[in-house]
Amino acid sequence: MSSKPPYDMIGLDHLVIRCKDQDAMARFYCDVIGGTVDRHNEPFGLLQIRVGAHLLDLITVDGKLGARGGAAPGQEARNLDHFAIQITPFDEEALRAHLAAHNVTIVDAGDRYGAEGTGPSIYFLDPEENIVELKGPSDGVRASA
Amino acid sequence: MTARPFSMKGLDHVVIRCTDVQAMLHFYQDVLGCTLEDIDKDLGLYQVRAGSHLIDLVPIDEPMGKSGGPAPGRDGHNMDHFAIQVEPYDDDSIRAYLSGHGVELGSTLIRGGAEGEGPAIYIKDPEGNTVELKGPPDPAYN
Repeated sequence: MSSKPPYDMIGLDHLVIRCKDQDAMARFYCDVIGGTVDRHNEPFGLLQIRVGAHLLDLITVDGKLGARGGAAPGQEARNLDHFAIQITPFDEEALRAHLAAHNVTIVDAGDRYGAEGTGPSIYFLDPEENIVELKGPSDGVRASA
Repeated sequence: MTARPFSMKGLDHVVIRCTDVQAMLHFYQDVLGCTLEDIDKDLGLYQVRAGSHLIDLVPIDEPMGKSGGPAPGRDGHNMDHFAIQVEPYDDDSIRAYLSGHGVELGSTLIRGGAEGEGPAIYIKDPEGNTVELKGPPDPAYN
């Protein structure tokens, strides 16, 4: 058995969220967060939203792809705690005003450690109560485990 | 309504709720090839690096994980799967390597990712989350 993988990891590519109301989720991720529709594969119930260099895919729980995952996610017992998107700039006052104008529920804020070091974050809920973190530029200082 | 005061660069991390963090750490590090980034025992947050980004593991019986309630089941997930870019993508050697570690392998398919259409293999982590290993875009499909 080879002890090392036959590849290098580059980073995340996309994240796929199962949703009940794909239209409402798409409006949120486009209008509030600033995503753009990359592709819509209707037969598969797959809507791909571009979030900077990566994709956030929304699949309907009753669609061809989503149905494989069984029941719709509940408020608890989720497999994804939250996910984070890097943004720039990070002006907390302006972010809070922007989110408030869209009636978004902010659940937390503060400096957090992310992929590029420690930097400011704000956490809020999407329409199906997934926790989304927007992460500002970080200090570039890596933790040493 | 105010203009959006930011632009997005891309994903930073995903945070997965889990039951057996040692088994998950073994899988993500020793099998997939992530490196240990940091452990915050007070929060119950275990971070591994996947290239430029992080995969965070939060055990459901530690402080951070408790806030999300019971353990995730095998279905009813809010995350269907997530994808990690890998390079190079040699399907035969990736399959042989993962099989050698006893990983449950799904199909290899040509799938659209953030950088275009390319090969991808779907596998399961020890707690039933689907992980996609995504190769570079293939010019034949783009």
